[in-house]
Amino acid sequence: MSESKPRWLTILDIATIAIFAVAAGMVFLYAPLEVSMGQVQKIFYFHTAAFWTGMLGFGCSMVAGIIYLRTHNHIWDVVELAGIEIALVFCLVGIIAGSIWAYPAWNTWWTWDPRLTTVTIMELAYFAYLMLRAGIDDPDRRARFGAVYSIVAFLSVPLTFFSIRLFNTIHPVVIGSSDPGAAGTFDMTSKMVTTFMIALLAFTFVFIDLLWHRIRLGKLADKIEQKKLSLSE
Amino acid sequence: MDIPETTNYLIAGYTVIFGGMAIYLVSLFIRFRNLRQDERMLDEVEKKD
Repeated sequence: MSESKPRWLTILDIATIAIFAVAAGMVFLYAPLEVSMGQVQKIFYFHTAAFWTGMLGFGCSMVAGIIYLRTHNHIWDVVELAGIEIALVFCLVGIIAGSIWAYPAWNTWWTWDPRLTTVTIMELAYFAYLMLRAGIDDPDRRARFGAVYSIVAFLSVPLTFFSIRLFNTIHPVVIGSSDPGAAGTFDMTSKMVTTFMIALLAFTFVFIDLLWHRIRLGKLADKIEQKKLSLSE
Repeated sequence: MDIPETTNYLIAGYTVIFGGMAIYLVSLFIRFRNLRQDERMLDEVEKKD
């Protein structure tokens, strides 16, 4: 039978829900209203934090890929897949929320600006990982392929992060100075910075919690795959 | 300076964020439940064999 839920995971679940509720409360009740954009500016806190979660997930999968290639321990393949799946969900949420913010700020839902282009490439590269992986039956070949792919695909992450700092872009820069052509920039007050930091912390908790759950799911799926193989022999 | 009325976009944005997270959580739960059912079924088959 599958192992029961660890007590520490239950504690982490509760802590994550609590800090997430605090972050959401701060966004709606504590953070001041930005005058040039109005209420929609508040999307920024969770939009950026969602991408932070995405970066953590892709980074985690790259590290897991390297460790798998060195150790050939299958658990790192499970960690890698877990990181990528979570990151894909959060980046997709961040892209859609960003597009909703963009309409009142830029007067368009989408534009092929360097940041939006690189983030699309990154998202598609990792979607391709899931599709290609699903087409490989042999678990060892699948894990080897996944490890190499996750390391190579990670090149798209710094490219996305630095795109707004390296190229002329409409997308504002949160930390550092924006391009003069950027639209939707604003000066962060101390209350905004505090809210932003709490949002990042909350999404870090969300990532660790989901990663743990997703790893347990992956381990259970592997166990069942092994049982099916042994029964069919 | 007049503050623009953009509350609808805020609601839409946070609906996507919370909704996306909720859908992922539900998908994790359903996959876990299905795998547990598969595990129980395989255990029964193993016992019969």
